[in-house]
Amino acid sequence: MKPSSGPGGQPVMLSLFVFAVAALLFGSPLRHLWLREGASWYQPFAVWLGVIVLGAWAARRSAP
Amino acid sequence: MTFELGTLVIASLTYLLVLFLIAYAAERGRIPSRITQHPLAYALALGVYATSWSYFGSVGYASQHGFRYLAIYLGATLSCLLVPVLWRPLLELTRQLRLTSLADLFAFRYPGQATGTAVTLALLAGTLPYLALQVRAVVESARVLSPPASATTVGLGFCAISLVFSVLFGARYVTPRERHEGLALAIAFESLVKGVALVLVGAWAVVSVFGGPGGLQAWLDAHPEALRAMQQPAREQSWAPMLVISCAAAFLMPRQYHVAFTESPERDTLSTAAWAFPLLLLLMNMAVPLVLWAGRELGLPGPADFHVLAVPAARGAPALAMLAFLGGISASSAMVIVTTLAMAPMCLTHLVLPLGYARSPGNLYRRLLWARRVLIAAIILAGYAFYVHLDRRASGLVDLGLVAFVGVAQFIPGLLGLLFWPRATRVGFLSGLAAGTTLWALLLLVPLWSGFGLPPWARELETLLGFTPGEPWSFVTFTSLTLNALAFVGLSLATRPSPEEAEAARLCAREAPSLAAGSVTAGSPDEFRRQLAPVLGPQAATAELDRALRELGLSEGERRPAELRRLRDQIERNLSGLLGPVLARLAVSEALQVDPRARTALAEQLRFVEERLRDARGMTGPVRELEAVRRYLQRILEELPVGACALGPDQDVVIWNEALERLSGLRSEEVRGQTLAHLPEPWGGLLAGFASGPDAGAETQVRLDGRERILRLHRSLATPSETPREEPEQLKGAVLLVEDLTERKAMDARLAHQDRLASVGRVAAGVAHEIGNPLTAITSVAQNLRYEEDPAEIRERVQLILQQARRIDAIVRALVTFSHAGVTGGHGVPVTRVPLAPLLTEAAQLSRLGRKDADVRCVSHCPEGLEVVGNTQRLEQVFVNLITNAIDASPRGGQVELFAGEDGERVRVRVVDQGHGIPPELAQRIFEPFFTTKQPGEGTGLGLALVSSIVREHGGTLEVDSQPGAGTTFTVTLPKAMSQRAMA
Repeated sequence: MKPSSGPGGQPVMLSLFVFAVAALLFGSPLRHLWLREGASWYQPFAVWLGVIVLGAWAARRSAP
Repeated sequence: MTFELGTLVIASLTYLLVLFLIAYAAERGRIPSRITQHPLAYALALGVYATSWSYFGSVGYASQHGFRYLAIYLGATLSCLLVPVLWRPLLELTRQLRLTSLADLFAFRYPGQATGTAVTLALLAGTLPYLALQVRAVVESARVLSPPASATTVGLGFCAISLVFSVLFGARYVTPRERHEGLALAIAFESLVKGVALVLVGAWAVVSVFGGPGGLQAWLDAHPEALRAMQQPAREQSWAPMLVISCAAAFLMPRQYHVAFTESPERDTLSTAAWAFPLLLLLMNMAVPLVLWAGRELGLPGPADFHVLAVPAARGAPALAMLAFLGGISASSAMVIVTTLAMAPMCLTHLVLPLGYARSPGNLYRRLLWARRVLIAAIILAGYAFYVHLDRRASGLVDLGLVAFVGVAQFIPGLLGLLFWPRATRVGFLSGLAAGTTLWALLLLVPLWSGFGLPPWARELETLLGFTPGEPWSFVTFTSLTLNALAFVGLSLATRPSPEEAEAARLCAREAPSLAAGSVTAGSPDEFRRQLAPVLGPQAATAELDRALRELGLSEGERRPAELRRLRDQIERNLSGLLGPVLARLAVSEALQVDPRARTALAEQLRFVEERLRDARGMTGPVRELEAVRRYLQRILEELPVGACALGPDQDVVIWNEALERLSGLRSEEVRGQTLAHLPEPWGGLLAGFASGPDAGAETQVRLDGRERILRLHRSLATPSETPREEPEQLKGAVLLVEDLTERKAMDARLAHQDRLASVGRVAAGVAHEIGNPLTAITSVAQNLRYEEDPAEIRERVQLILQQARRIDAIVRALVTFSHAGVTGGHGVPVTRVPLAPLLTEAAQLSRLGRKDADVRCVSHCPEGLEVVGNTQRLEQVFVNLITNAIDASPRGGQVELFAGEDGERVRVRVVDQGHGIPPELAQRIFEPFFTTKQPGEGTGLGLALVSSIVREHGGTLEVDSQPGAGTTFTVTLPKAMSQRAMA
């Protein structure tokens, strides 16, 4: 018996998906994209802000 | 530019005093709750994550590792993405079970004092480097602005101030169960100050040093190596270990757990915190490269750890430098205060109280309060001692923080098991924690003092596994967590969870907990108090009992076994916040013993299922449908127009619906679980007597609210078809229906009276005619009598007058009797043996009085001696109505026949006419009140409804058989009066 806002529920899966995307952006070689030579100094913060916006959307969807 | 140490101290004290005033005002309610409970205040309070490490150390770390410093905050952002998966379930658990610390949480899930002790020791070991970091940051930041300042003076002074404010903020009273509104708001304010200070320093650096954003870009274009130094190391080095440990630290570090769960507001704030907290971190961290580059441009000497202070100081901005210093003080003091307030209760409940401290004589609360204050002092001094013995060469600010992060990460496997793996066992958890923590202590903690770094074997393994040399925490994160997880999973699979563990696992995994079996041996709250007193002391026993009673809405007179069991569980939950779950369970088990053989009340079982289903709202699959069906059936039951009361096998009330609540004035909540005998009078005696009596139905009269009421009771046994054959007695119960007939009886009586009056009106004309004839005769004889002189003739004429007068008298008496019967209501009508033949004859005569012009004969075929049981007047009314209708339906010259005869123990009377009959579509409606087929003014529509009601009251039946054009037969069946011999 699992709540829909718990593991397995649709809103939770959304949060997990955003988490997976963020983990890939930050923890995998994909970070070379926003840390490449010549990228502007604020690019890491822009990526970070994008993840926060996605996270806010997912959190709003999963709110009780 | 430098400052006097005294200036820095006064500024710091003033700032902390302002913080305390904010906290004090919030606790006193001077600051509205819409601010103290605001989600953004909660998100800001979570900013305690950013300590002096972030405030000062990030610039230094960025100077060596570039943008990799962001990993610590990106890990926290990842953690916030898991709010629905990790944070929210943890928050629900801690609220539901009153688990105020991480040690409480683990000690509940993996039950045993050893668990609480091990977790507390591990957290304490992980906390000390972090406390040392704060002391060091404050000392070194003070010396940046005031170089002659003594490290010992500043360090000890900071510790003393932190101690005082920790006690003021969170140890002025004892209970850790309540949210400290003031503390949370003060920490939020601290986060705001340090955030604003850092952003201001960064912005000021851009404007002052580079001349604005354009100047910064120009400087970066001119110095591409500066940006390259930020990007290149971040590309080449691994981020994963740092992301993992910071993701865990964001909610597992003692201060984070305390703010996130123990101090969380009642309303849902997590959704806001999920974005606002990372946004705060982002804004603070955007200033880091700006300050670093400004320091480089200004040619400040390294290390860059304190550039946040040095940049404004070097440019001669004393106000900004002081603000930056206060921002650092803010970051450090917040960390120290919240950490000690989180660790002190943990140490108290899991290290001190198990030694028997709680059982010492005296006031328990006062002892706990002082113990906590002493522990706060001990923890802060231990942090200072750690700082004093640090090997300065081996560690920067960030290194100290990372050591603590890796230590806390050892709880990841246990936490995941706690939430998602019910099979995890205490042995597995303790083994994993011991393995991981030991490796962490040997490879990271000890070198902080010794300065030797990793031992040779570890260095070889580090190289072999491809980890970057010089970053032992990365290697230790991997090895310790791997060892920890393997031991945890392996030994959990190799051992079996105890029943206590299995129950805790179900609760933690949000699976169905089992119903607590047995009932408390103590039979009343007063007995609870007496039995708790030897364990908690009289004062604490009374306080805890009163609190639990208040929270559950129970009274001192509570006797219901199920409610007393709930009371016991509530006391245990409350004590869990005070003594920890293990000691609370021990104390309550010792004081309030449970008889496991006692049967759990059916009401409690039902409530348990209801609560389970209510908690399951929002679930998917069959549970949701099941809940919908349950709620639908419950609404039907609740909205039944008659009172319904379901009883368990011990006559305990299981269901008490709304109609019964209204009728009795007793609320379902106070009645459920009570046995019938314990209900207030008259309900206790009435229902208990009826439930155990021989009759399945009864009608009775009771006095409620000063009014006499007539109730009809029905009873049926409630034995579900799913009853297990082996335990049939456990599910026997009964359902009682209580119908209030008072209004209906009164209505029936009014209807009967109206019908009678209508009948009187109808017969009035006939009566006038009937009386008119003898009256004319009397008048005529009396006139002639004046002239009569013959005595014999006079006597004959007087006799004639008297005969006519008796005739009139008989008619008037019959009319008066008919019109007055039944006026007083349907109850209390005397029942006698009623001879049927004279009754039918009189009814026929009365009917004909009103239908003189009808020219219809009325013939009775009733055998003499036939008797029924009933009320003469009411039965007469029945037949007057039926015969009148028959006459009305008959053609002129027609005949109405009355047949009567025995049918077993009943008597059947048929009223047969030769009228036009009743159409089939109307036959079903003729018994409805006010339904009539007669012309307007000729019938009230009440007659047959009344007849039906009276016949039912007599235990009889009324049937109609009619064919259009072939006449109608009404058949009345009544109970036959038994012969006197048979009755004898």
